[in-house]
Amino acid sequence: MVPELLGRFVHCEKAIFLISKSLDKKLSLYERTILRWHVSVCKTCSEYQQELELIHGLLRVHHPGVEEPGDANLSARLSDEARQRIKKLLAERLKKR
Amino acid sequence: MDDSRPPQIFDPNVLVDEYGDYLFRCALVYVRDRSLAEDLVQETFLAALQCHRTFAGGSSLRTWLLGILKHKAVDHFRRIRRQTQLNGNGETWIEEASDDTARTGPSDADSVSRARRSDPQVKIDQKAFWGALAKGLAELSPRTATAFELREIEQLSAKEVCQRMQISESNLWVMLHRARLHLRECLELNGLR
Repeated sequence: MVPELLGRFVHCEKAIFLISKSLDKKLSLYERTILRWHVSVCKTCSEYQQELELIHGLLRVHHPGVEEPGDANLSARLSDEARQRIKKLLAERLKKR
Repeated sequence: MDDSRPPQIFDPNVLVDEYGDYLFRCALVYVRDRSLAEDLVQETFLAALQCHRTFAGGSSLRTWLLGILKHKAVDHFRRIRRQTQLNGNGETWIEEASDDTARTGPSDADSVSRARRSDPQVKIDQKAFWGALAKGLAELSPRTATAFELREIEQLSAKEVCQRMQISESNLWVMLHRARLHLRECLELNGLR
């Protein structure tokens, strides 16, 4: 009963803001409490929290260029033409200094 | 000693031979087109020569170059967006246009459920993820995108981001909130699985 009542006093607008903030700073006891109560009664925000945490976690671990097994990109290389063209351009740029 | 000359590691032959293919593979994650990817790599190397002084030597050169490439990719999407803007009102960044969403948050419980798979061991399609992320970032105002990039992609602490951008903590919370709200939608639509 009590969590349900309190959930109504914290709107989703505030809850999603706190969910985001919690990724960057430890929430105050008050903030943690009202968020926990809201998330326990609001499925939408509960899922939003999971998604933000998922994205946040993925960005810590995955970087483009890290080869995954079966990645078709493994063999992608600059063409010889592009390689020469870029080298030439860089060399010219250096000469201008 | 002439400070304006880049150090030896910035020799064009070395740069392209050592890092060209790696950056090319990374660029392909953002843009599907190979010649576009080549352009991104070229722009990255040129920018690297330009601001070689900011390379502290602390992180690896590879990581530093990748950072430049990411910014170039976002710039690329921003340029495309500008070109397709027909109303001539100047740019409207997503977080201004969708202020209603910011107020109400995720409203469609079904779409949220659909997007969310219960399997915690999520295997993602890297290309789809990073491509969608770069596009989403380009739709945010440059400052909001920068805040997100510094915090989430370069993994700086909140304090460091505030110092770098000369903003208060509360400014940062708001910017990151808007960024995450928008990016979550982009990633959902583009099939984060």
